[in-house]
Amino acid sequence: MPFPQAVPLKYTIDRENCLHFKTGKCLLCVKECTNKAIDHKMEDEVLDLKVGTIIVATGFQTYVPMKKGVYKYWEYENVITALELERLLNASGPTGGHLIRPSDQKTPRRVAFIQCVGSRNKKIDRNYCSRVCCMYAIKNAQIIKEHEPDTEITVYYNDIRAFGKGFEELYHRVREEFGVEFFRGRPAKLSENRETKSIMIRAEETLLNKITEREFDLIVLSVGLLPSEGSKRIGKTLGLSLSSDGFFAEAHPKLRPVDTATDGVFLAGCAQSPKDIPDSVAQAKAAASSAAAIMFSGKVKIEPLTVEVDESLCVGCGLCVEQCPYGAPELIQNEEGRTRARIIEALCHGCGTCAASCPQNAITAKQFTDEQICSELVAALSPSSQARTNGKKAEEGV
Amino acid sequence: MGEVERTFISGLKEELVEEKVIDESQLDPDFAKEIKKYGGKDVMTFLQCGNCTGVCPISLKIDYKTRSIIKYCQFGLKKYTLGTRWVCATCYRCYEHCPADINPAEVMIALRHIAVREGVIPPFIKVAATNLVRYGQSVKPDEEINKIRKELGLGDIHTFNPDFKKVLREISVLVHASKYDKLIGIEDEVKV
Ligand SMILES: Cc1cc2nc3c(=O)[nH]c(=O)nc-3n(C[C@H](O)[C@H](O)[C@H](O)COP(=O)(O)OP(=O)(O)OC[C@H]3O[C@@H](n4cnc5c(N)ncnc54)[C@H](O)[C@@H]3O)c2cc1C
Ligand code: SF4
Repeated sequence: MPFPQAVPLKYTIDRENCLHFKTGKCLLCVKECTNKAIDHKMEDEVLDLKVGTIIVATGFQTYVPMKKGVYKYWEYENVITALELERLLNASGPTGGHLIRPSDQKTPRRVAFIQCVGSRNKKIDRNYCSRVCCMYAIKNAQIIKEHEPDTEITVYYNDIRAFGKGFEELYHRVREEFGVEFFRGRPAKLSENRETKSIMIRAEETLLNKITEREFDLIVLSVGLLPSEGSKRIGKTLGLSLSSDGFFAEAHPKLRPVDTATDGVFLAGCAQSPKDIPDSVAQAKAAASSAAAIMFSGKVKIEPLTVEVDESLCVGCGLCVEQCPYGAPELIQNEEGRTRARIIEALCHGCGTCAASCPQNAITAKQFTDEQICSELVAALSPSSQARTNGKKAEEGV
Repeated sequence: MGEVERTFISGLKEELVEEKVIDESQLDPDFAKEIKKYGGKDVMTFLQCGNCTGVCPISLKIDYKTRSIIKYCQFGLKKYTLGTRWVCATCYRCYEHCPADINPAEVMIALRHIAVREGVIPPFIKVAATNLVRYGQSVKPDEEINKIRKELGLGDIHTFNPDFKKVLREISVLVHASKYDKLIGIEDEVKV
């Protein structure tokens, strides 16, 4: 078992240490397994699957503090990230859930959390709030207090965003019941005591208007969430666009939050934007039912707005195939053996990109023929309509 | 008030005593725009995280808090911003650290422009500004220093050089044309 929370929760062979892979012998496990589930000859395979819909749930990666940053993650031993703290506090983690600090393996008495590390920072082009770090810091502060009630905990924050169900109550509880201190201010400077390896934080308590210097045994950076590593590549493969923050863009921020611009491709979880587990699960279920709805009906409804190719004009240059964002045109051989473009109507969204780019004018958008557009222009520019617009402008005082 | 503060803000006609209650009449809703006009960035996007105060070498020494001055700017409390920002050394450390990518130092410079236009000028600034018109430099030239320069084989301080009269005249023209003389109240000195 790789680790107790592994998904799926199945045994795997540790190839590096397995006697069979080392010496070619042993195979005791194969003899013992009554279900005949072990096969040492299995290899990695690349499978080509034909699928009806795709759900992109590639999640996030955490922000890695800068090499020369203010928070000295790479310099001071006792500065760790929240992800590292999660492992330390985990009952099946390396210390069995017992909190220690890296420099001397002792239990820290004073712990500081620094919020918004790698989030809400225009300087590094991360303008967004990562949404989960306030709450995971509060959660971890509570866990530390439950294990070691004497620990003094201070959370250096800018704003506390406790917006989910029961979150505000938890924020209240860690202060009331556990005495966790919340300090409004972004640390300006960290400096290490060479002997004790404890770290002094200088920060302005913005609500008091006072600069403070306080020492802590362990510093935890509440690192933000970034788009997962392969987002750009997957986006390119599936024709998905990315929002300015680098996460996958949904088709509509309010009305179609799990759909994408590509039909049949849906989004779930942190692939779309930073969110916590309940929100990820809700979006995942929505994506699953959206996908299921299409697959079970066996039919797709499309808009009648598509384009058509005039075969007598088309020279089969293939420009439309390159340009189309939906992969609708394809090149075929006609009866005379000539290469011509053909539109797969089920894929076409009628955007007209190909019609505008075709050097032969061989493509027409069905509801937007050149004649229709010209008549619209003529009407819009006609004297009577001009007069109307001018009158309106005069009324508005333009 | 400490020694440094006294030097920097002495003689300022400012009511730095804070009011118990601030009402609408004391707020200038266009203050942020005015700061922008004089070269400061948009103070309204300032996060109030306090990083600037924490890194400011001046904030550590005297009662000057970068963040709260910007808060006054956001709020439109002009009166509170027209004094102590002369202590800003424009070292740009606040800018280097600012997660909102604002440049507090430039806001301070804009505040100086505004203060001078409102006639709030600390005496030492007036002296430096007058020196510029009189001697072509903000520090008064000193005969003693000129002597030492000569001993070291260096040339005259340019103010003592007769050819420099022409430059001084040019400065006067510029100063008068830009109404700088009127701003700092030395129009009688400037002969154009
Ligand atoms: C320190 C920390 C503490 C947190 N604590 C809490 C908490 O207490 N409560 C809470 O609700 N939330 C918490 N969160 C947030 C929580 O982790 C996320 O909400 C959740 O993990 C999102 O799930 P996901 O499936 O969208 O993404 P992920 O959990 O990131 O899963 C994505 C998966 O996709 C895989 N993947 C990525 N790219 C590819 C690819 N190209 N091909 C195949 N697979 C790929 C990844 O390996 C990963 O297994 C915490 C986050 C952090 C950083
Ligand atoms: S969730 Fe909290 S800590 Fe995280 S970026 Fe948002 S405000 Fe900062």
